[in-house]
Amino acid sequence: MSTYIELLISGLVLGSIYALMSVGLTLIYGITKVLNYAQGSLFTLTAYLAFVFFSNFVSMNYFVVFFITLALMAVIGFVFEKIFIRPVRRLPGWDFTVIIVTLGTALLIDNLFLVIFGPLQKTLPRAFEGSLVLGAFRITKHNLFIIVAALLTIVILDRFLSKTRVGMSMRAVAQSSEGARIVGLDVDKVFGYSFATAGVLAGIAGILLTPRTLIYPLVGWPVFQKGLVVMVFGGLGSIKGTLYAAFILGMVEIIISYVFGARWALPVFIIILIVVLVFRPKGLAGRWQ
Amino acid sequence: MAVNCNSTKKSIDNKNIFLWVALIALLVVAPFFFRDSRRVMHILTMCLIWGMVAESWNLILGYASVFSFGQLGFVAIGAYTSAMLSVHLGISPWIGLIAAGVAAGIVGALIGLPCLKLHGIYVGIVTFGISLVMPTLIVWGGQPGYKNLTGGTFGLAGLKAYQLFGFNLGSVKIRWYYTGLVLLAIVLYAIYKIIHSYVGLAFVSLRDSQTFAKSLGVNDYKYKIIVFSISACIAGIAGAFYAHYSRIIDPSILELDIFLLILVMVVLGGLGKFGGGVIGAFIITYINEILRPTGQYRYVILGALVIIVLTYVPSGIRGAIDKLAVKIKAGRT
Amino acid sequence: MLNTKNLYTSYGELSVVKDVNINVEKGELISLFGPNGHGKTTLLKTICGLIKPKSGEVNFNGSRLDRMDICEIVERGIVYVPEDRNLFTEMTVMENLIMGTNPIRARDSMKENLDYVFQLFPKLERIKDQLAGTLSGGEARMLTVGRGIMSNPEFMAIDEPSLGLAPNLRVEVFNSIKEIQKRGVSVFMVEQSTSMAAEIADRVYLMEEGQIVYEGEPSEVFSDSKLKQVFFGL
Repeated sequence: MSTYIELLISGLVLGSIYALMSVGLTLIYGITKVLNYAQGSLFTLTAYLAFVFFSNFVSMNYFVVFFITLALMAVIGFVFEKIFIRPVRRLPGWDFTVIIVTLGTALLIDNLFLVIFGPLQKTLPRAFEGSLVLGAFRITKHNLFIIVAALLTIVILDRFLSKTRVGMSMRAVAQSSEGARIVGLDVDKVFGYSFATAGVLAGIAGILLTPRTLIYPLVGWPVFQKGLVVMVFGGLGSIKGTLYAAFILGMVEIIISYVFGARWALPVFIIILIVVLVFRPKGLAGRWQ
Repeated sequence: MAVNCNSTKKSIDNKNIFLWVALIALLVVAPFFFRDSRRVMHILTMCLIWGMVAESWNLILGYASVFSFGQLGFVAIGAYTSAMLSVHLGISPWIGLIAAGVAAGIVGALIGLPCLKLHGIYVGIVTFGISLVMPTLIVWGGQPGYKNLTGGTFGLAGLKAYQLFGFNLGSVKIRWYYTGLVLLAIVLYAIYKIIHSYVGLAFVSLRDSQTFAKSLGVNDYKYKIIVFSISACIAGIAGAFYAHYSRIIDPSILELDIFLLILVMVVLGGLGKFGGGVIGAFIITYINEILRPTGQYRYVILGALVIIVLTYVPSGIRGAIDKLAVKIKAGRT
Repeated sequence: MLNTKNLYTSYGELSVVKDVNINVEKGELISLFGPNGHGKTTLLKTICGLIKPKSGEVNFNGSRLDRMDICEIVERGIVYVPEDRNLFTEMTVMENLIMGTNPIRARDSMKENLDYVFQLFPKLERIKDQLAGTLSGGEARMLTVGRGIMSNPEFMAIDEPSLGLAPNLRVEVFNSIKEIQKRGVSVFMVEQSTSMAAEIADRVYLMEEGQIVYEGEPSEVFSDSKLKQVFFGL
């Protein structure tokens, strides 16, 4: 019994990470129509940033570093859009070109990590050490922190999108870019905000997960790959669908890893994805028009 | 005015033909200048191989406007088919070459059946996902229990060279080069025939006017599967040739940097423009090679180059992207 | 207050608006007539900054709109009310109205503009929590006009307000446009052949093949059978 509960918790932890990663992806796609192949690199970047902070300011409180890094990620996300995405968007046929540009950006950033930090793995501290024992099963405090932090992030994101002017303007652009221009929204800026938000989401995932995986230049890549599948599975642009998909696939991955081994997770994901898309060509929550 | 227009168009056509003849002549005589440099001959041969892959990708991406991101998967299927036949059964690489094309073509059709029903970017992510999964399958196929079918992470090494008119291509680079050139010529001829066939015309009509072509009863799903399969077949053949040329094939063929490089070849050369992939292949393979001495900075520079070139090169070279974009847009709404 | 000088707009090689000179005074209600596909919407969008002109000027209170970014144009009190919905379909009616207050100039008067919109279209208040994507044609039209009012405009460009509406709804929409004018807002509206649009207007223009071919008072149009024929197909 306790094994199953522990599997369930692992599934929740993984689902939380995938949710953060793929909600960022789907947010960007829904608002800016950009498929951002560099989202995994933003994940990795956060981990390295946090690493730099922790190793230079050893005495600094975990949460101070946590929030400074995320604030930086918001700025970086905004600048990322300005430098890499905005110039391409002016071109005809940009929605294809931009994919390749984000791929190029991922190649650039990931290899910069290699140049700067070398191939050796770095470690990041956990928010809380030790574990809680609840009756028959135990959960590490850090895992609990991952789940709570992810759920909290999603609630805050929901409030942000539905209650604040910036959040509403992001939804407005996603729903009708022409309408957004009509009411005088600065669409460029809204795109920047979307990337900033996605940068923070990838960042939270990065800080939360890398204490478990260690940091290396390509650490974000497998998370991004699965985030991509989660996004399509949930339905492009739909946050709700993406959340369902993230926790379903997180669970599936844990079960597959337990039964067959971790490397079979992605193949099974792809099979599930294809089967789902055959019946629902736009994913779980996508509208079929 | 009309006369003027016509003559301009004609002269452009003539210029094109001239350009192609010049290019082919250049490719034929190139080895005479570089025959002593094994390195240059190697680069040129790689250009030919990547040219085949890029052009096959161009066929599905540029002409059929199918957002396929899985082309390297088909290269790997072709490479491994021929390599396994050669290593385990001792079958001639020539037969392996054909088997590679057939295998990749069949897998292409099978993957196309569910995937090509999807729209725009969904196809891209699913096909990309499939190629991401392949290394896992290859490594799994290399477990001792399966008689080391695929060679696992280390790959299959010691692949035999082709025999041609009693010659063994062996390690004589120039022989490989000419064989590759003939293969590329056949591939280009086949692609040319396809895009000027009924199927090709159906695609041009679909690309230019979806609804009109559909009202004429052009069934794009069927044609997409056909072209997807043919494109996979060509990629498979190129993969087989690559495997035997390199004498080793391992899962690194599916790595992201190769994926990006070939994609850039296609886009740079001109999406949906005949021969664009080959031109792109020569440019990118060359750049990649001269960056080799920069060591670990190579991919940093390459990534930056990709961004700069795609952002700032006049869109004239890539005019056809617009059409694909329109198509993707149509799929998305 | 607002005028255009030798305005040209084109899609690629194709000129859609050719040498258009119009002017709208403060508080005026102008109707622009013309057959479908003759450049009326393009003219409206060019004036409001959604499309950049090829050449010519758009002047508003002494500044050149044609050189400005759309955000700045909206900020100056110019609003385009589209004919196709362009609503935020997955937001509620209320949220759509709030999005209308995006310009800074609209923030202070948000409350009173909202009251005004609900007074003009009581229906909208009843359905304020409904998603915009589920509205009927008439409701959607009211909402686009309402969203325009929320941005506190001095100049409203309304694209075919009566399109696809039942006759009684048309009357309601035109009455509300007249009301908006009474509030001191200049209205420039485009219609195909609805005579009521001329009845409520101070002046009318006729556009054919991208050019303004007639300018006059509605009374002139109604008294001339030939003009009546051209304008309303009567």
